Amino acid sequence: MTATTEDQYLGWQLESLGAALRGVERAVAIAAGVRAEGWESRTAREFRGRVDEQLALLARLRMDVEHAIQQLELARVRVSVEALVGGGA
Amino acid sequence: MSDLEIFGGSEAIEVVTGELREASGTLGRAGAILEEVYRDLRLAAQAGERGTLGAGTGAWAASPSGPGGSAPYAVSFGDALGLAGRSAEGIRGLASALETAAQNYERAERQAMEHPGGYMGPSGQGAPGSVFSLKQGFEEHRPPGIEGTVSGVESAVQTLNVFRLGPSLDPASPAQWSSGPDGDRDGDAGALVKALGLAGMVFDSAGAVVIGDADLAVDAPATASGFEDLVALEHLASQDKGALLVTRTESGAWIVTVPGTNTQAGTAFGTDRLAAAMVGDSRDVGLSTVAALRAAGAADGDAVILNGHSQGGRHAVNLALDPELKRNFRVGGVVTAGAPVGRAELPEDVWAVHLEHVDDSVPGLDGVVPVPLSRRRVLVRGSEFAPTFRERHEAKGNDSNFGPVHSGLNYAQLGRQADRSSDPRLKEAAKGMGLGGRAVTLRFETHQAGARATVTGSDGVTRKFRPKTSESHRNLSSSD
Repeated sequence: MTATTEDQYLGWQLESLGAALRGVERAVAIAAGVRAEGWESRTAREFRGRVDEQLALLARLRMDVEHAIQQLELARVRVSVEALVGGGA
Repeated sequence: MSDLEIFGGSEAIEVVTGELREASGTLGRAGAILEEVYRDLRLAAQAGERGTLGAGTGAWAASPSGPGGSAPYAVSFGDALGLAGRSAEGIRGLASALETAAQNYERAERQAMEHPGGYMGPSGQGAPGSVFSLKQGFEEHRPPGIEGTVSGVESAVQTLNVFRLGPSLDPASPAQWSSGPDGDRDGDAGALVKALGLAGMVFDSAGAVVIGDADLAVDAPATASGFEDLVALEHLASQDKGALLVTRTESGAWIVTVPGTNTQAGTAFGTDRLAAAMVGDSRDVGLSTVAALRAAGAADGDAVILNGHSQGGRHAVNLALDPELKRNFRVGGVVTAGAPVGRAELPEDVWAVHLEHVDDSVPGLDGVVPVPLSRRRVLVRGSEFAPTFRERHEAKGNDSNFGPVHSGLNYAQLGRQADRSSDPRLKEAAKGMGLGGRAVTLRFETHQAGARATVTGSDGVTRKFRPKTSESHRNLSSSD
């Protein structure tokens, strides 16, 4: 596989991961909004703890996606460098 | 021991159900988004799988289905994919749990609130199974009350259906009653109100409400610290031919008290006005209310609490939506006693407390047992009578036209109980609408535009007058 093709695949991965990250952020915003608004009744408040659990999961998911994006960006730079110096796959 | 039953407020079944359902729907959207996230992560993984990327890049290893890799992000990518699946599942599960909770609440609501004449009983047996009908327990010695009136209204609708042409009125569709098919108040609701004998006279126009000059109401309560004070104002407003009372409170809020139904000649609050109020028309009362507030010194945007007994209560609710009033002032609260407000919606940001005695027929005139409740709209029901025989039977004034149970003095008892209640919803509502502290009240006598009072003097001669000022009006009233 050429460096160009590999770079292209990495680009697709980054694009998909970027979309995933934006999705996670929207989901976090929605869940945080539910937690913050209108939950005045005792029964509804009981669900707040479970929303918090979901928010923690989403925060972890966001970190993982961000980490994957960083690593892919590094990989993309490495592919470019390897192409320039004549090495690579 | 207080016999109060309190509905609505932040702990109300309807409110909780609404919250749960809203949260469920919102989280459902979050779940759908997370499924998209999962799909995007899979796409990213597939992009890696398509290539034959070398170990140097490690991108292939990012896919959890791949052969694995040594790159550190391989772990985070796989974790992310797993987490996305779990998050989507968790959020959807939570949304489902919220929906189930909402359904459970609705079931309880049906049993407790929509049971005909449903009344949980003074013993505090709050479980749904303990709901019983007033008819079962008190039919022999208590008046029909709210439930009886509602049954009467439903019968009237059925009777109307027999004689009228066109689509039938549905007793289970209250919205259909409050306006005609084209929003015309002479439509179904007009026919219904006429059939019930509420209109009695000319339904089409109750006419303008003329107010006189302001007088200091020396007999008004010196404080506006609770619901008993407001009921006292209602009682006072309904004396003679009815007056608009404008009260300035220490907290800076204004209270406008609208009188109840009055039968004296020349009154602006007769049965025709009641009929108009029942279909949401309080425009003329609104104009006079704005004029009275301005005359009392209220400034643009000042907070106003609308207060009324019986017909006055229905006007109070209607006025919370009155464009002219809202253009001038901010409606902060509504308090009603013995008022038919079951079909009247209120803005969500307006605090409201409705006092109803279970044996009072008037709150059921709209054909509805429960009023629409919300986080800020609280219904207080009581079943005790005023404590003494004297209070019960010496209920004077025009607010006793529907019997002593409906009288202001009986509702004063309910107001007193509400003030003494430790229920946080009532405290919250009183605080939210700005009740508290000392108060000064101005009285604006009212009369129907164009009305002439008939007075027979000691000489036996009957004379007709058109009252122009509060002074002349009061003189006429005292001659009645």
